[in-house]
Amino acid sequence: MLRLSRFCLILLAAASLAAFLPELFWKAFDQKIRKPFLLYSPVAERFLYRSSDDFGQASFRDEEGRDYSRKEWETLLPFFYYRDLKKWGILPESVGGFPMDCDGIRAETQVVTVNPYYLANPQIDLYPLFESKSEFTDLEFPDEMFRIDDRMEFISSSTNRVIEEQSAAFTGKLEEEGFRFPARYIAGNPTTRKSFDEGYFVLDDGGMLFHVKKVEGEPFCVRTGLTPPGGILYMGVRENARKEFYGVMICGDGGAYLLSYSGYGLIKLPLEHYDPRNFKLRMITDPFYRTITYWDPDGDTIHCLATDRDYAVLREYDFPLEKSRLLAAESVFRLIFPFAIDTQDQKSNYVLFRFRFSGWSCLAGIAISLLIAAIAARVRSMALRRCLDDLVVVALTGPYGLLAVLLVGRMKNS
Amino acid sequence: MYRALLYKEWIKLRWVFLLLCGIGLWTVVDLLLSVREYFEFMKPVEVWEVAIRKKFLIYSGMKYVPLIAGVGIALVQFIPETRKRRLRLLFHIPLSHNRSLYFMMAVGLGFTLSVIALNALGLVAILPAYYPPELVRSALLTAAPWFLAGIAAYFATVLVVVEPVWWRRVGYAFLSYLVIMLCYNGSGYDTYAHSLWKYALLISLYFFTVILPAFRFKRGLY
Repeated sequence: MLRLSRFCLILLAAASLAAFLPELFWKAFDQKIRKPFLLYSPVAERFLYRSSDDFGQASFRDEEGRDYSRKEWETLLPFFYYRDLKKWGILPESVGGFPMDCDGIRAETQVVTVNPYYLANPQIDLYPLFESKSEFTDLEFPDEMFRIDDRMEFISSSTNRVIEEQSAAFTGKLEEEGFRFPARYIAGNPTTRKSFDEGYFVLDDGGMLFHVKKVEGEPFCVRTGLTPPGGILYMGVRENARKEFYGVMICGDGGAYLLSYSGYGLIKLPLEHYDPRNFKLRMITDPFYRTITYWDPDGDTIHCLATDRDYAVLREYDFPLEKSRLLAAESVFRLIFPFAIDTQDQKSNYVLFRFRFSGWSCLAGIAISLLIAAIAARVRSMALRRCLDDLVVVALTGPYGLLAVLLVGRMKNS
Repeated sequence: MYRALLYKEWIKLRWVFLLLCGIGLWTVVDLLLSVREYFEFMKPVEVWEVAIRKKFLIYSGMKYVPLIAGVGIALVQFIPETRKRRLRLLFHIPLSHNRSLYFMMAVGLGFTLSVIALNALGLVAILPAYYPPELVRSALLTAAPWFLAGIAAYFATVLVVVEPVWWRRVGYAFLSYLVIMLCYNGSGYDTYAHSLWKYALLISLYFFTVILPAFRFKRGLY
């Protein structure tokens, strides 16, 4: 029992130190990798970027490294900086045949982002269903929220009871369309801060996508005929006056798609090596092009694509991130710590308990830890063969085990 | 013998237990009053929306009650035993050492769990009247690591108090701080949904740890 007790204490100490010490290390030595802001210039027909150095000094360059003044740089991006250009009185009449008025440009601009944590975010599956065709200008928050389990149920927030009539009407309509309960994924944009409402996209148990709205108080349910490949990992509905796509969808096959307004078709974004669980994705539209950038925050490249309106790739560019200054800290970490237990990660909103091996260079840290453990045993006049079990712990866990063993100590006559 | 031990623990713990139940009850009453106030001054659906989308935890007043209960009960139970080395008396009753020690801890843990259960019952009693079951389930899952912290805090405090060497006490206290803080990570609800069992497993290691310092205490070995 005594040995078990000691072993549990050492294990507990080593595990909590493995969660704590790496966090402390990175708090002390982590450095911000400055990411440039990249856009495709319709005028220069290449990528331009704005980056800043350690002192916050901004520089403006193109993909060939040519320097620009800020004004020159913005002039090459008229669809993004049209308000500055207008202020300076140099907004051209038209660019590539597109008339340059502010409202027209704004109507063609849309920004879509997907972050890895969107895919790992705890969510209570209760949603408000807005009236999509209201007589009034502003969207109003309904009194009830819905869930879709073995039927579509509306729960009144005033009474906390199911509203039978409305639930039966929507369930009936969904069944008519061939919906298989329960819902596997529900995507919507439950905010009143939008100009109109497109309701919800619901994946049924058979993997078929349905469009559900409330129109003049009546259920509007459409079987889209679409089965997203591999199911849906994430879908964000983004109502935009351009009405090109309902939103962005990350499917089980790892691809990023847009759900088109024309016949609920899927438009696959032409991304290579995109991993939705690790990469950030941003798409900015203008009247002619879509600038798509995607990157792994832990990686060393920002992938950039410029496509035409039909998402055919016109230009590709990989921007290398300057990570050399992190490499020293990283290799020191790998030398000292054989592994780390991650409890938090910017790529997930869940709390983790994830074991991460550092690589074989940790043998150095383990060797030093073993040496210290041996010296400590010597100082306490203990024969090494009698602390073999401790040495095994240190060999497996490096400095964590060493600290644990030193703290807990040995029983001289046990 | 067990009845006598139980009576001894009861004498030590009754007032602190009453105080902790008072604190637990107060957080439950506070929760009830907050819920009432929110539903009075906001539209009910807004209260739901703030809980679901903004991830506002109306029951977060309970966050540290299990922790306080665990520490409080362990202190009141074991500090008198370690002064003047009274714990050694325990090891002279006609029961095996580990058995009498674990009986004491079972009683202390039982009291701690009672305070935790009071909080959990408060959630289950109040929330379903105002919120749909999804939110009640989520509240219990969100509070689960806090409850776990209470159990860890109990064992951790016993460990620190029973350990006879002062520097090792400091080490155990720091270590226990690290372990307990692991239960308070994340923001929002259901964040431990995938990892709660791993943390429960880690904290279950505490169950065996007290034997070593108790042995050292008994033998006077440092």
